[in-house]
Amino acid sequence: MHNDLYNWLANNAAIKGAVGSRVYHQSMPQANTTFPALAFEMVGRTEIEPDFDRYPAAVLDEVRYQFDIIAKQSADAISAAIVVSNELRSLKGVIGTTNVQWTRLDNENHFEEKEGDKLRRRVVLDYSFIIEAQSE
Amino acid sequence: MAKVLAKNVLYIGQGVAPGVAPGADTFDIIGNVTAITGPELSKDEVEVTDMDSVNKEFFGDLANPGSINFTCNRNYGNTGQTRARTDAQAQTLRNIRVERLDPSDDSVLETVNFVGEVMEWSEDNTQGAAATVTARCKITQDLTFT
Repeated sequence: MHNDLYNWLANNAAIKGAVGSRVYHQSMPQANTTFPALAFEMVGRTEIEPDFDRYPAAVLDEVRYQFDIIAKQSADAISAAIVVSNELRSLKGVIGTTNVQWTRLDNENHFEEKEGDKLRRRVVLDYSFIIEAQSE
Repeated sequence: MAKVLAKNVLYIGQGVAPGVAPGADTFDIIGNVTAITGPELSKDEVEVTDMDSVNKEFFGDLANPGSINFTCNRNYGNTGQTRARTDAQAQTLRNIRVERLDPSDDSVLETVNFVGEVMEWSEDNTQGAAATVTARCKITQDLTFT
């Protein structure tokens, strides 16, 4: 799912409007100095509703991702996060080879953290997706 | 093997029993089963105490094979589930088969064959969860374990 989600994020028109091409898997590059930017990583995956038809027959997995929207100003981070969240809430259907059947916002947090002698702002979105998984 | 994790395959015949014998029937799998309980074997107690008895006397009545109850994730493309739901709305006896498998290699540990009729079919569609079914198949006459 990682590649499919990355491609979907990177090519989504609304998200590109909010963060440009600054979509990163796991961590934002140290050299990135342009904001807002979006980094995302998987934080959990569980098979749900297992039955006697075992993998490689299709199974349902719940996958949790954390999305970090990082900006210098809190207003910029929040604006970009709203765009990203709206698109994630609407995500369903086939993206790439992944069949997304359900999305759910689990948590949203707002942080600020030091960058040298300055502060930057980070909005964290935790989303769960229920996908029909076959072989990857 | 002392203990085994449960793994079963549930089959429903295409023919109408008992006109079509199990050996001549074609079976379809009822797919995506999450649990099977039963058969629930029992016998009523028949008291035969008489004036010559020293203590109360009993023997068992005819065996009652009970039912099998099963739950499954709803698979709209599965032929076996479709037939079972259709049968719940009609009076149709089917050859039913349950295979108990060794989950480590899918070898068959035991096969249970019987004639039964789907008596109950209940669907659950709760948002955010898999669509599921709970059903019951009443067993008639004897059943065989091989």
